Amino acid sequence: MLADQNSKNLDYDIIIIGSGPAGITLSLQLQNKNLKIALVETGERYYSENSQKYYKGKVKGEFPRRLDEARLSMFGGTTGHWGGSCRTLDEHDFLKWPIKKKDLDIYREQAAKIIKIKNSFKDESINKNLNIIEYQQSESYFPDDYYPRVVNSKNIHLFLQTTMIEMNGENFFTSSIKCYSRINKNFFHLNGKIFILATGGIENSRILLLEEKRNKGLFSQNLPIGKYWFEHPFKILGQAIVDHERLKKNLNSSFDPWVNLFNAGDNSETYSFAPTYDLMNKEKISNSCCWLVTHERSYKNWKNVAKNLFCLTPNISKKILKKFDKHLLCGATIYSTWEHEPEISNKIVLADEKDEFENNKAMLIYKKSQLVRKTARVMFEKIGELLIEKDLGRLIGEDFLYENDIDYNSEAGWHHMGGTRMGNNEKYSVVDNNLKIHGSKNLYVIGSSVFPTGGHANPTLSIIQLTLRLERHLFKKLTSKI
Amino acid sequence: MERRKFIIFSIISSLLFLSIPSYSKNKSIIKKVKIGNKYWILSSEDF
Repeated sequence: MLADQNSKNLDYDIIIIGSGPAGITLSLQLQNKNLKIALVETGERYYSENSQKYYKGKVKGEFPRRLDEARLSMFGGTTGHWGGSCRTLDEHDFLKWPIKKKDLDIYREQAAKIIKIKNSFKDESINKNLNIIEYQQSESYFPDDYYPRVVNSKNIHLFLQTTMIEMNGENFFTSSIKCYSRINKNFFHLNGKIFILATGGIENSRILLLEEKRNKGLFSQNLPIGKYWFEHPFKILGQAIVDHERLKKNLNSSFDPWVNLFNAGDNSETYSFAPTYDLMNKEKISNSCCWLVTHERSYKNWKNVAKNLFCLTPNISKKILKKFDKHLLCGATIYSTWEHEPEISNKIVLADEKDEFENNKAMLIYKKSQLVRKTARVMFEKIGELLIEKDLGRLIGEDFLYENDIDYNSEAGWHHMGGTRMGNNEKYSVVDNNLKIHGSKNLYVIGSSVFPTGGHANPTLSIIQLTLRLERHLFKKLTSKI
Repeated sequence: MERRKFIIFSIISSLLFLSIPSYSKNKSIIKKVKIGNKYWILSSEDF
């Protein structure tokens, strides 16, 4: 139900700060267990300029967006920006995690139901370098799908337009949070047994940095809060001239429902290539995905591209131009997203500028690594080799792939990971295997901020799997004490 | 003697036969060629 914000000093079993996919999933799972839950959200049910101002902050370096553009302060959080792409993390994405893929896979069927997708993420081997991988497309929109269920639940109290100002407690035990209601324009406290920080991949770090600065002894000091932050760069790597009929015969395009997102037309096909683990090891590259998307409509433009090649390679050019005249060839674009390795220098810190509650705003310091460029180049070449090997077409790459002094902008900025990473060692991690902050007795963090590494997959599915795992842990913990 | 010749001949022929696929594979060398500000990934057979 919507909380009565006139009440003061309310007591809850669990207080969840942030109603993104993690906060919503956790509250709905726990309400079935007859626990009393507070769900605190700065934003409203839908997007509002008034709420977005709380997400203003600073960016230093190469991050391509403003912080109040890259994330959403609303019910459903930044999934409001989500195009719906779903993919599970790969086995090798977990090499630096304290848990394994199988520890999350047991929640995948349930997570897939929550975001209304098929639980199918196949890898089809093409050669020793590349796989074609399967994606699912979610049509789920949290403010429409889950707001009614949350407000109809008697065990969930939803506090909208309510900002958490600070945490209180002592001896590594958090006892309450101080909040401000924009509806009633008043401050109030919520008392709880367990507190969950679920405010997204930037705000989770900012809140913990503020609490570390207040030094109330709620968790261990000197944790790497905000550090090892990363995202998924996204960029067009180049174009291709392809024989679309041979492509269809040789490669599986049924794995990817993304065509319309790339706006390439109804008759287009998308092929999703990922590196094999062998290729990643051999070339020392990160994980990534490249989408080859055919554009059957633009024959004229692509024929002109082929003409550029004529002076150098008359043999193949004659063949290409003839095939274009018979509409046997078409153009394609190669899009790519990559894993960015976690680096200590990429981080969330507190900016000097403060918000209306005298809390410092977030500042993101971020620079793309050379490994990101190398990964893109290797993947591009392997796809190029595959097209030659199977006589499917030829690739044309952008200059930044080969010239390190050419700067390039990523067009991403939507997946915010790391900053409160999961691990066993306090020197390199902020939360433990159960997502409890090191040293704390009852303060947890959930969301992509706990990812030690991020693979190339959109994080939403993994966030929900991790949330379901956390729910099982919390329920066990609470039922053993209540 | 004839039998030995035949065996040696068979071994050499098999080795030659086995080497053909790898020879064909190496015939096409992947080349990266800059045209304007773009890099084409081409086969040596394209030229």
